Amino acid sequence: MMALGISVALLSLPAALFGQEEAPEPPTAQWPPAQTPDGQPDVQGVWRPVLGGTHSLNPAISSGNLFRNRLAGVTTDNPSRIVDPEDGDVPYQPWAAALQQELEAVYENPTRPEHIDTQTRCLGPGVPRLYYNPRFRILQPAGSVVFVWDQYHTFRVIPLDGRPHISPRIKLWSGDGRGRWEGNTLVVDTTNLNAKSRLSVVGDFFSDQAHILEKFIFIDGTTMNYEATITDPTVFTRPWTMRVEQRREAEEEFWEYACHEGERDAAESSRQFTD
Amino acid sequence: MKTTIVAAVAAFVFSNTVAFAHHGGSMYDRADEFILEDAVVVDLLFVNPHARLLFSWTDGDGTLAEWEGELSGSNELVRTGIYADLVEPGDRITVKGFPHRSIPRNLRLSSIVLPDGREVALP
Repeated sequence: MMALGISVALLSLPAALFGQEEAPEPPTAQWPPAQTPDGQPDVQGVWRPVLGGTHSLNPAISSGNLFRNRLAGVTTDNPSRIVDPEDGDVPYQPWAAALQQELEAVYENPTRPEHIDTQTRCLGPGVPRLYYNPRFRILQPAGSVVFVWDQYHTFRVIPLDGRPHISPRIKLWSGDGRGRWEGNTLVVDTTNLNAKSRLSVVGDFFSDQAHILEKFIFIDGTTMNYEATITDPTVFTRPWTMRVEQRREAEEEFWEYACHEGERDAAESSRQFTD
Repeated sequence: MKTTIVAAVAAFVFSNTVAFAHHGGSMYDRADEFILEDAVVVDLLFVNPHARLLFSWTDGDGTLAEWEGELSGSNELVRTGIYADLVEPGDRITVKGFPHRSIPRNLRLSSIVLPDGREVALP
């Protein structure tokens, strides 16, 4: 007979208590920041969104939190990621709002391949989605800023030398970013997006005509606000801006992440396809 | 050997363990937690984006079948102190998890009880 007798205390043991190695040192960072040899504010290290997750933009919630809320029978009062417009909603044109709602209605029970979220299929999250899910590392070799994620084996190299964007005939998952420092804020102008990635599990999207102005606003040695203003007249009624607070994390190694090795969702979901 | 469904406990356990870094949990039935005693480990696939525990289990009717349980990815597991040697093939364990809505014998694991009696919450 089973084990209702297992104590609540035992059940509540977090996984971290099992086999946990010594915890890494909490992060510290000089502020104002030191300068790199090429004169950049040195913000290198590991960063992570305070409120991570890509289930939806409004409210900002992860799939895990949503699942736990449903178990507990509660709803989240998380704020929207969208700070402009003030209502926190993506300013879709009517046709685009209808498409997003259609995708949201089927994400749990997809009947066509395109209904399955791109992240769930191990495809690159792209920009800006990369900045509200996994941790990432910032490196600053001379003349550029490099972002590295172990999840999805993704990276971005942002040149700082003022070079022009690549040909508009080239479209990329994370687009083409060109950066400059304004004090302790890294401003990145991002174009050439292929728009194959989505903004959330519930189908928020933009088109390959989108232009994203990103700002990495370093507040102090351990806090940074990531802001992305998306302009796309083919999908939205006006430019809009999301903000994601980021915190510096303790140093840790980044490892390989062969996402497709264990990915099963596409195959399992396809059992429900109707054609 | 029995399957025990403990919905009341489920929310508590799950709130402390399960994370979905890669996909959502809507494909799993949140209402019921399965507890499978005396399961036998076949293999632990320590991969991303989700590790997989393969095990066999004999139900109350004496039917032996292979089951599969999903965990977080190997990177996330290691960062919470769980390694590929968590279990070995042949280990007899208790498996707890939430059943997939459409795939039989497929669980989202919440915890396992090792042969020495320690229960390990699984992210």
